[in-house]
Amino acid sequence: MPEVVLDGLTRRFGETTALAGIDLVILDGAFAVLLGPSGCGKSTTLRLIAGLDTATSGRIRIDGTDVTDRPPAKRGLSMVFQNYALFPHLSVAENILFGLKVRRVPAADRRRRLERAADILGLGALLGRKPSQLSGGQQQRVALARAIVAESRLCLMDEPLSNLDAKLRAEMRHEIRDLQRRLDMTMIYVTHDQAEALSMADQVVLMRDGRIEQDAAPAELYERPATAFAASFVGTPPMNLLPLDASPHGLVVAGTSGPVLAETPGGHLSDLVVGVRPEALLPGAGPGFPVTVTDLDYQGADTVLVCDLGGHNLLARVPGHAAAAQGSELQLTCAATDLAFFSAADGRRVALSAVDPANQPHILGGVV
Amino acid sequence: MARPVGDPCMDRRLLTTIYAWLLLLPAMVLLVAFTHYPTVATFWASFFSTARGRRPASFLGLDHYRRMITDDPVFLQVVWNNFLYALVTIPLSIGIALVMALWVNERLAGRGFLRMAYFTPTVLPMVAAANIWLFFYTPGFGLLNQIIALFGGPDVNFLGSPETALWSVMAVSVWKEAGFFMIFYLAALQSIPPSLKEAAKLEGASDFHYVRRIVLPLLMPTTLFVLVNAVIGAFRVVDHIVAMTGGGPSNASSLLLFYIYETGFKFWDTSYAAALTVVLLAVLITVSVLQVTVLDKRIHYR
Repeated sequence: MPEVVLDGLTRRFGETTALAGIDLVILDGAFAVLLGPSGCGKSTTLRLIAGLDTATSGRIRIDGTDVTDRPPAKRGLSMVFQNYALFPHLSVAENILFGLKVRRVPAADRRRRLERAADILGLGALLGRKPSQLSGGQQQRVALARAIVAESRLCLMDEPLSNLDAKLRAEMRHEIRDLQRRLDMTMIYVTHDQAEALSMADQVVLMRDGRIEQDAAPAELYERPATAFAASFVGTPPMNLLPLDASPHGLVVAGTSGPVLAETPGGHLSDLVVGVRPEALLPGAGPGFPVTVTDLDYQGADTVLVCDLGGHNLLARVPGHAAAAQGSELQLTCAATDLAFFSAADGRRVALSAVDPANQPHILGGVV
Repeated sequence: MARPVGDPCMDRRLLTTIYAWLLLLPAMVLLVAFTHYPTVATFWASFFSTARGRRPASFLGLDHYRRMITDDPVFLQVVWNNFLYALVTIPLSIGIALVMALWVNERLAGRGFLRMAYFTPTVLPMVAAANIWLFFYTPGFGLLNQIIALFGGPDVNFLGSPETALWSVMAVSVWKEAGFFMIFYLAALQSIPPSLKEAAKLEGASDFHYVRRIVLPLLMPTTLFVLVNAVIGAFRVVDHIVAMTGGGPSNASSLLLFYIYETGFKFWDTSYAAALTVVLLAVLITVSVLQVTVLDKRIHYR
C-alpha cells in the first residue's frame, strides 16, 4: 500500500509558482530523497506534506487518508529541521519529551521512550544539558531523538546534515539510513547534495522549477538520466553535455569533424545534445575524441582531466595520478552505450542509434 | 638582579598605562563631575541642616531620616503613592506591551501601521503626552467626560479629586510606557527562529501552549531588562505630574521625586531634599540588585 501520495500538488506565492502540480508516490518503508537546486520546490513540497504550509490546490494522502486539510500534529509524522529547531531553554531530555508531554503520554511510557531514543542515539550522558552546550553533531542527534520518540512511521527531514562538517556528515548519512531501516520508517528527505541523495535513497525525486524532473532509483537516475538537467545535476563531476552538428557521415560534436556519434536522424530533430559521463571516457590508443588537456584536477583516487574538444569543455575522470600532462593532446574513447542524446529544446532524452566512437572505419582514412 | 634605569620594557608599560588613562579621562571627568561627586555630596549634605542667611549648616546626624518617619506625613504619603504607582503601572504596562508585541508580530494586514500606532506615544515627550491627556480629563467637555455623559453618567473631575488623581496619572504612564516596552519584546520575538513554532506545532502544541512554554521563557531576559527599566522609570519620571496635577490635590498624586523637587526647589530645604534623595537612591539600588540577583538565576540566557 502506498504510504505518501501527492496528487496535483500546487503552491503559488502570489505571482510565482513554487510547485506546479506534482504527482508523486512514495512507497511504504521507502527512503525517498527530494533532490534539486535551491528554489526547485523540494522544501515547499516537504512543508506541504508536514502541514506547515497550505497547498493552493492538489491533495496529500498519507497511508490512504487524505490529510490535506489536517493540522501538522494530526498527520502522524515527525520532522527534523535544518537548524534542528531545538528549544534553547529546555534540557535535552525536555526537548525530546516536549511532544509526548503535549500529547499527555503517561510518565512511565515517556520514560521508557526517552530511554530507548537516548540509547539508540547515544545521548544518555547528555540528557541534562542545554542545546547550547552541545556540538553541532550532538544537536543533530537530539533533533533525531525528538523525531523518533514520537514513534510515528513517517519522518520528514529538511537538509538535516547541511550544518555539519564533511566527516560528520558522512557518518550521519550512514546513521540516518541505518535508523530508518531499523525503525522501519518511511523517510522523506530533502537535500541539494546529489551525492547524499545517491548514497541514501531508495527513490530519488529530482525537482526543478516546481516540477519533478525524474523520479527513479539512484542507479536508474545515474545511468539513465531522463533529461539533460538530470544528467547535468547528478555525478561528480556531472555528465558532459556537448551540442551536436550534422556532418556528411552523421552527427558529430559541434565544431569538430569527428568522430561520428550517431546517424543523422530523420525529421526535424536538428538541435541535439550528446551526454557522456566523465568516468566513461578513457584515454585510448585508438581513435576517439581528439582533445587537448587544458587542466588537471587531482583528486587522490583519480584525476579529472579538463579537456578542450572543438572549443567545448570535456571532463574525463581517469583512475590514478595524472595520465596526461597539461597541454598534451590525446584521444578519449568510450562505448556507444555510454552516449546519451537529449533534445536541446526541451532537454528530453532522445532515442538515437549511437555509433561507437572508437570504431569508425569511414573516418580512419584521415578525416580526424 | 636590579633592573637598569630606563629599562625599555618598563618604559613601554608606563607609556601604555598613561595612554590608557588619557583615553579614559574625558568620560571620567564627566562621570565624576556630574554623577559621582553629586552623589557623594548629596549623601554628605543629608547629615547637615540647610544653611539659611547668616546661619551656617550644622551637623544633624540622622535627624532628617528620623523626621521622615516620625514627623512628615507627606513623605509617608508620597512613598505610599509611589509604591502603588509602581505596583499598578509596571505589571500593567509590561503585560500590555507583551500582548501588543505578540499581536503585531503575527502576519496581519496593516501590521506596519499598527506597530507605528503603538509606538507613537513613546516618541512624544512626556509633557506633550500629559497635555493631550489633560484634554481627555478636562471636566465638562473633556473626551472622557463626554463619553461618560453619553451613557448618562455624572461629570468626573479626574485630576481634581483625590480619589481619581493618582489613577488618572497612572493611566498616562501606562499608555506611554507600553509602546516603548513593546519594541523590546518585538525585537526579542523576531529573534526567535520560526522553526521553533513549527516544531512545537508538529508536536501538537496549541498556540497558547507554545507561547507559555516556549515564547515566555525565551523572553525572560527581555522581561528582566524591561522590568529594571520600568522600576527606574516609575521612580524617576514625574514630568506628567508637573504638567497635570502639580502633585495635588493635597498630595494625592505626588510621587517621591516630585516631593524631592518641591522640598529642594520650592521650599528650599535642600539638605532635607538631599536626605530624601538618598532614600530614593537606596530604594532604586535595592530593587535593581534584587532583580539582577534573584531573577537572574531563574532566567535562561541564550
